[in-house]
Amino acid sequence: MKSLSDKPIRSEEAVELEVRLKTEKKDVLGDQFAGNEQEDHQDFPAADLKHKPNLEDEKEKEREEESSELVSSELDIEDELFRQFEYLLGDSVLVVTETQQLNLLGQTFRPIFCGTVCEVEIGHITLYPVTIKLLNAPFHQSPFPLSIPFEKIAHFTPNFDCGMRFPLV
Amino acid sequence: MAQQSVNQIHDEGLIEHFRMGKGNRVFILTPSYPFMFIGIIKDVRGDVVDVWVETTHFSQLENRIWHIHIDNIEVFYIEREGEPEIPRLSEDYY
Repeated sequence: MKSLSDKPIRSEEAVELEVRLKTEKKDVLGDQFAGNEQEDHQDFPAADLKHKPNLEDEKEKEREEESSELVSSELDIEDELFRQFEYLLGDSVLVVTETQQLNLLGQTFRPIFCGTVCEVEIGHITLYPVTIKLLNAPFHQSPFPLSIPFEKIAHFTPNFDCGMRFPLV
Repeated sequence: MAQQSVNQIHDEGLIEHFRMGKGNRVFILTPSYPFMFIGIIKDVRGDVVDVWVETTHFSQLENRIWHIHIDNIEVFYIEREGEPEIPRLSEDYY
């Protein structure tokens, strides 16, 4: 492994640290990872040419480690949604989920939620306090927090004034 | 490829969150009938959560175990200590 100052090939840990510290540099790092991947692909055929079993085992282990590290650092880079919501902790957001409508005790409503981001986890965000945009009660405040899976968020907009009136049709 | 793996991480994180909530009360909204479940998380198997449902829209569907596909959950809340509670329906909160 090379030192931190060595730009083209740096250690995986160093890169992960960097990613955490400097999110704004993610694009540059992403390019670097693309470069690393290419290097790896070049390595594999060379390894396959060697028919010594012990060597191959070692190579395979190395490859596994490399690939797992690549996956984790890839995720650090690419989970932009998670990163953005972490940044939005404490801010109020308007979130619309994918389904056409939901139903709360017989009342159908569009899945539009406005509230303060109070928790961001790997698979979901939690809003509290949070208002549900019921048709006849557009500022209905939920008595408890609401969690929304990342995969259900259709779109959202940050810094939204939850007291704002807008048509729900 | 990378995009897919991020979605998978989200899904797995969500399943893990439900697994951590085992034994707690949960509120679930789904786009499919009967749209709402309130009950206690009994177990999580694969991407299915087993909920002992005490409240839905219809009493005929209550007080039984429902196996709910986590991918189908649109909005939810799992109670935790020191956090707001999901009111009992008898308190008529809506």
